[in-house]
Amino acid sequence: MPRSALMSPRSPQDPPPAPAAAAVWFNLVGGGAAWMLHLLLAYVIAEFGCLSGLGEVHLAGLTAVAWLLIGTSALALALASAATATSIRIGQHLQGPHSAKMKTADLEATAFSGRLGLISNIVFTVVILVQSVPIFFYLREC
Amino acid sequence: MKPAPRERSAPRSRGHPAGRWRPALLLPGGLLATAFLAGCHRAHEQSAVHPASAEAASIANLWWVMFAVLAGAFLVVMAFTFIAISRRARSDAPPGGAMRFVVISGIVVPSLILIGLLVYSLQTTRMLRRPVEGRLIQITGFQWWWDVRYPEFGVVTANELYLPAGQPVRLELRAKDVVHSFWVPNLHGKIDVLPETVNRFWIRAEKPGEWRGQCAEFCGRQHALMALRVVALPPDEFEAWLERHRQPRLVTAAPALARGEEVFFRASCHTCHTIRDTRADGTLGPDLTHLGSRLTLGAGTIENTREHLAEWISDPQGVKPGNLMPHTPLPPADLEALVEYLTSLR
Amino acid sequence: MPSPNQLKEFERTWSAPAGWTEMLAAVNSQRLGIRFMVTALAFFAVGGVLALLMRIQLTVSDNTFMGPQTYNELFTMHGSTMMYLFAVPFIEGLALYLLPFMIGSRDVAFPRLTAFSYWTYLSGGLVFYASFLTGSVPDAGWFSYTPLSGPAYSGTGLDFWVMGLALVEVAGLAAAVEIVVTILKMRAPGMSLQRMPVLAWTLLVSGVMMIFAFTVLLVGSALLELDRAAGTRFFDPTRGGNSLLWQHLFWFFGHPEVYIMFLPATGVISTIVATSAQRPLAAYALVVMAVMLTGFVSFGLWMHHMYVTGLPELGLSFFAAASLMIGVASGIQIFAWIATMWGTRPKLTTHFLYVLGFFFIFVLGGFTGVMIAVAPFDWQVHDTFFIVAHFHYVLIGGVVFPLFAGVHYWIPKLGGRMLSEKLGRWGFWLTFAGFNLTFFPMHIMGLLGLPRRVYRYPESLQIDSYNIAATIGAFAMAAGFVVIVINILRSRRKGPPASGNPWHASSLEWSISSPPPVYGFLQPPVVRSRDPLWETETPPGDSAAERASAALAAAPVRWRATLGTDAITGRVVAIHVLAGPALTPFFAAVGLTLAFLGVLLKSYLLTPLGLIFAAACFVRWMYPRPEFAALLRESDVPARAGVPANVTGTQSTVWWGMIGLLTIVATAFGALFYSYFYLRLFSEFWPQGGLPKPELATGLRVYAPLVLSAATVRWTTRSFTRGRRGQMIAAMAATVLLWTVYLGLIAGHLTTQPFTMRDNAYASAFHIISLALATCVLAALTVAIACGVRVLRAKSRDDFYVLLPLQLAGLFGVFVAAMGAVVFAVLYLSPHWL
Repeated sequence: MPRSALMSPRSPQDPPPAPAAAAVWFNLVGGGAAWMLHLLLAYVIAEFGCLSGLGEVHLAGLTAVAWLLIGTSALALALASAATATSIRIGQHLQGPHSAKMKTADLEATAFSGRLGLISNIVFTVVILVQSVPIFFYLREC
Repeated sequence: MKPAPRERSAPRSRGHPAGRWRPALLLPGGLLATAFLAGCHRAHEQSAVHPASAEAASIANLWWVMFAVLAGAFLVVMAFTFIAISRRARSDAPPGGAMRFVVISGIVVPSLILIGLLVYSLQTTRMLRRPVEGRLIQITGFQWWWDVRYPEFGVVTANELYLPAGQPVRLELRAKDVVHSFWVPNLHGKIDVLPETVNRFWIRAEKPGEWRGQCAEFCGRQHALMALRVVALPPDEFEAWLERHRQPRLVTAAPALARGEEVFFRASCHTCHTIRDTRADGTLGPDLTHLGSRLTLGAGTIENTREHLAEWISDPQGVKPGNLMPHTPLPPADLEALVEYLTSLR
Repeated sequence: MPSPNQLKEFERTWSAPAGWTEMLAAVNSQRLGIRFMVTALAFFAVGGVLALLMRIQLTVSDNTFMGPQTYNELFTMHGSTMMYLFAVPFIEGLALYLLPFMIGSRDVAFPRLTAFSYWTYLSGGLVFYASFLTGSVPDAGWFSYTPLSGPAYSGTGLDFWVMGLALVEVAGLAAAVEIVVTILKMRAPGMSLQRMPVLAWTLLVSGVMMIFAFTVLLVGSALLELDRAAGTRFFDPTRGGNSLLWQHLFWFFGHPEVYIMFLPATGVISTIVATSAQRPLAAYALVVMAVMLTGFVSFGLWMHHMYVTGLPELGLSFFAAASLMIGVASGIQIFAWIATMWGTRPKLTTHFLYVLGFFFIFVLGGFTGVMIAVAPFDWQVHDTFFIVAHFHYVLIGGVVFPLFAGVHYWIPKLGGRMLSEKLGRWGFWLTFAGFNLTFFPMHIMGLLGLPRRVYRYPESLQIDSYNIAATIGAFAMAAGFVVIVINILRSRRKGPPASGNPWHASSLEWSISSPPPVYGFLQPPVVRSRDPLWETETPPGDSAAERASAALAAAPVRWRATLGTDAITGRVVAIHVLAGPALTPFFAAVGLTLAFLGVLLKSYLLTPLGLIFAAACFVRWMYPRPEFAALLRESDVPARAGVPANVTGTQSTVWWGMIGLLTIVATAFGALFYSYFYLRLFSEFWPQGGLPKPELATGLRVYAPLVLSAATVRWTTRSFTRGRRGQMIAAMAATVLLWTVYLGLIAGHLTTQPFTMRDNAYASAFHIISLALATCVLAALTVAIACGVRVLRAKSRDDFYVLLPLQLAGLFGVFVAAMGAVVFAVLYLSPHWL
């Protein structure tokens, strides 16, 4: 995680460098990766959890499969939210007083990737939420 | 959600008048004419929009709801397109500014519609696949016919499926060779018939009636001619049908029939076909123990009449090109005796 | 201004050689792009004729115009032609032709690879159609489900199908890497990400998708051919194989395939909408996001082609949700176009009519797509004519109409002459009306119970009248296509000459004359905004960019070059040297085709000979020519431009090409591992058939040398950069030794196994994965030896012709070592845990 680049202390005397390349990339593909992780994990859990009998095991009224799926959704949403937060920080970072240090072309490109990442991370968060809807129809049985 | 108790869910026997106009709803403008041409007064015996069971009706409901919602959405998009290009607007941007316009009409509204559809479809899915009790029927797909067995009764037939009306039946489907798909649209959606696993499914016919089903997954040369008849009988008639078909063939001492049986073995029909209580035990083709009572020949290709049977035996490749039954040249008298014998198997 | 002499020499450098070899040796993307498009259109015409024959057969119930075998062959070839031989290659052609112009480059990144891609594609298409000469035509559908397409149920026609398909996929992969690297590395100076034309964005996303999707299909078809020719059991249910595995692999390719074609088509629409509205595209960032979203999510939809296979419905429902949500991505694009056009009253030119036709047809097809994403409804209409109607709406409306819009829009640029608007309108209305008359009734036919892929249907379905309408419509549509072709041919002689920018468009291709000169841009453009030709004032550009651009004005004269830029910011970083005409790509494609024909004809001597010939061509292709190196050294262009010409590492296009190749190989292994675990999960016992579990100790002994070689490879590259020649030679020798030991061990290990790859699906997977890795190591060994020879003979450490190959060989070496560890874990460890 590109924390070092983003969370470094911001004092005017010691301007932080441009957002790390890793942060820019995480901002661009983090939401998509979270979505992909969610779909694949949910598919594998549902398919093989139900076949292997985990759907029969009940914990606090819900099947073990349902709990695993809820956990997967929470994990994917956390990842997507982290990506969204990164996008927001990139945006703030570029509006800060240090932006003058960057070349205009670089600034524009980074700002654009921040904006692009922000909307795509939000949309992917929505997609993950929608993809979690089916879980609520299969809480007690497969 | 319980199965939609609306008029549409009512079981529909042949020629129910309410079923006919619906396809016309699909048609915009110029195509209406063709729809009316098609609106003749016969039953749709293989149709997804003429349901004869609560299951098919709930899918048909799903379709009509989606059709209404999405046709509306289509008209809205077209209206926006028309307004966009036909009027010179005072401001450059669409209402609310370009960005907000795209976000609301391109993301927010579609998401809400799609989430609604998702929830509705999940409800329908749950309703359709609930496990049920009922008689077990084993269906095996072959290139290009269906083997149908009632294992609890020892009844074996082919290319026709008899059901007790009003009662669900459980199906176990498996393919002998390649992938097929079992589909009787008036009763339910389709389910693939796979060579490696047994797929479980269930169907139910609300009322007595007759429908057509067809293989829906491309399975080779004669995929088109792999149909089956589905007949729902009142429960007591169904029991009678089962009882008759669990018996072996009727043995009659008529000399013509003895000659026919002799021709059957001489022509080696028994290497592929079974007739219970004889030494005919082939399994490559359909069981012929009750061939005389079958509705069709060649998996729904032709009606089962004496003339058709003679034609089928003497020229199977002419009737259904590519099917696995070999050409069997027989003298007319032998053919006559064989047909006599086979039609006697009831 | 360059002198006339310089101009002449510059033009000669970029021209194709004279004579008959010109045909075979040409590498310019302009020429090959047109060749791709013309070839694809020829296949489109053939595929269309097949469709008309099918429509004749289906006009009335129980028709006897043709028998089942012919019909099955026709729909197989129609689908395969349209999907594999028309749509994707046409888009590749469009990309190769337009992309360099749109992003301000003189050619694409790997000109010889372009030629190789074209020849492979052409021979793949010819292999498909050669089946008609043998009388055994593919007849298992464009999807060729197993076991119907397996050895037990199909004839040699399927071998033609698999081999043709594999060649076309290789061509597609080559084009995909080409497109991606070109967009990432060769945009005009100043064209940062946010200034990229939307068409370039869509091609970038499509290219990346192709790399993953085509590779998976390539692996799937290789496994199918192994089943057919070598007796493996991957898809044989009687020996532990699984027919659904094919469906997974096929649709993991098949669904993204649709979006691979659709996304560039939306890029064309975005371009034409903006031009027609004379206004920049609205909500650019949202549109780009929608394109990326589509690229991602399209890989999560493959299961919706398998709703009726009886898989657990909870698992399917996630795919249903994803399938519905991809509708949002299309919604964004549609409303962005509407917002762009809002209140502008665009002129109804022919290309804009096609855009409107696209709106009508595609939106309708998109909505039926939403319907069939809903599982219960799909259970009814799956494999019926409803689906046929749906995907023709999406593919003709969503791909062919935009492409025809593009053809009408760019023909003035391409041929230098305008098309007739009158004929254009005739062509549009005939195709539009004919299309709807053909395919709209098919929705109803499907609901009324007509399954797909049937050569006849009973009268009792009561759909004869719809079918008559559909057949009439099909002929009207065909007439429309004929009018379009006549219009294009007519314009070549009678069309009024086109100006440089007849539509007053904003993108760079309109800044050069129509038709464009062979070199594209005399001077590489410098980009300052998203719509360069609509700039009203010119803000001062980046001085480095201006300097590099000026240095390349009609220069260099003796070699082909274009500017290279940073992928994100568009800062100028290099001069990329581009290859000139060469015959090696053609011969490499011939070698590859011969190898495939060897499998097809079951003359297994031809296969290795063909492969060796192709490999020799590749070696000749890669081999540096000393006279060319001298030319580069003497040139003053890099100095004047202020950027180096021979770049290495991440600055080099070749390095990125290598990353593309490694992505392909990694994806291929991913597909193999997926197959392995899929078979495992549906088997009661693993290994199947009572075979013993593989011994850990044996596996360790075989794979340890390979995994260890990661260290020696790193050591080689490190000692090279530090200038320690002796150490480097030792490390290289150690690497070669380790790999040779591994190859010897694996050969012994596989030949002494108590089972062969024909025994069951487990045995097949075990052998094929081991052999695939061994093949990669053999390739790495060859590369390492070639590279070693070059290093030993090099005079200077900084020599470009040493450093770059060593970097690439190092990448490849580390990759195979890492893959060795993964293969060991999968084949030797996983049976003990799972």
